[in-house]
Amino acid sequence: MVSGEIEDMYRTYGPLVLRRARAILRDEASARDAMQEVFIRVIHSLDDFKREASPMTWLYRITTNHCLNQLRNQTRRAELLELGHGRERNQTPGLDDRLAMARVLAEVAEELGQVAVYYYLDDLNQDEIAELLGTSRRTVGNRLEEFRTAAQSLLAERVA
Amino acid sequence: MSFEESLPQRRGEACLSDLVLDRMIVGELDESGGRAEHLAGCAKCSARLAELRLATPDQLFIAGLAAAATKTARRRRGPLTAGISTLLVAAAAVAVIWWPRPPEGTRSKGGLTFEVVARRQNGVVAPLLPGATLAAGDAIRFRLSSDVDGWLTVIGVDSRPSVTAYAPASGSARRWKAGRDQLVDEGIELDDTRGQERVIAVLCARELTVAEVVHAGERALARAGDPAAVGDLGLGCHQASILFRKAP
Repeated sequence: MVSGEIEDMYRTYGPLVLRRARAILRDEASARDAMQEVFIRVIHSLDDFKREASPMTWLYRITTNHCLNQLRNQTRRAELLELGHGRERNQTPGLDDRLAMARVLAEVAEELGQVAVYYYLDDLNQDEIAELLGTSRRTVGNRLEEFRTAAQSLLAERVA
Repeated sequence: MSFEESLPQRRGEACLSDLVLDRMIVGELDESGGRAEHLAGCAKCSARLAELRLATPDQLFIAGLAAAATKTARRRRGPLTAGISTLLVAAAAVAVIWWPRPPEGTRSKGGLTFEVVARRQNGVVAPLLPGATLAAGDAIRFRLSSDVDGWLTVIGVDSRPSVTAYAPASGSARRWKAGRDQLVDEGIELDDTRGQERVIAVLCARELTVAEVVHAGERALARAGDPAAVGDLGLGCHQASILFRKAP
């Protein structure tokens, strides 16, 4: 790989990866770190990247997975919970509450978090998510239902 | 308020997702398949497409990347910036830059691996590969891996023709401990000299002066007549180099 390729890749995909990481992590510094980590992975998996019919879709997936892993990081989760306690006294938590969203994504199983990000954050429909994940629409629907149940339970715990 | 009611309103079924719009932006999808017609008739989607395009200015992104690179370098390697003395070849200082692994094409000899990392004026930070082109104002730093301890000097041999000491700038060669991926303190901002330049790292078992290495470079350049043809400096030391081109 030549440095020009790396540059081209950054220019083409970098801003979109950064935007996506910002949307999931809701923290500028973490998003930038995530972007760099994603590109390190791209460079290390360059053959896979080049073979992808849609590199953008591939990047969506690995950025989502990386960011969800970040959210699961114990330290970060503790920070979010601490921040969240300051807000929940006066607000009804909903999934549009970014801290609540982050907390829920950090808590649920990875496959549920993925589907939730694509559905709620990216506004993809179930067919699109199924195509992106290489699974069936039914599976996506089931995971969304599981996520809703888990989210309601987790949010209820917060206000209890 | 129910769970679903707490969520933002979803896009219309016919509307284009961000993923589709992103793929259009990078050229993976064109405007066929009804997308052009939809964009022409849907103010929401066309506005979102414009928003996504506006949200991706290269310069802002690249500046962020450089900042992230600096932060990662500090986190992974400790306070790299502490005590950095930047050598000015043309003018300004260079930020700490970092890259995760040696690129293909790094020249190695005698247990010494030498890597040049460049930060271009547009902010892009990337390892330099042999034969790459840089411009005046671009900045470079050096990273080495070596199996042995020694005394390190880095010089640049260019097309003027001249030889410049990059690290250290003068005095004695720098004491260097064996190790992987160690960054040399100095950063260099390239001047407007055009043509090829060979940056040479010399790791010696004995304590040379920088002047000795520069003179050896001058002799080698005189013999070769061209930075591209400069080979062994005849110092009996480990030596590694990379050749690049400077354009306006």
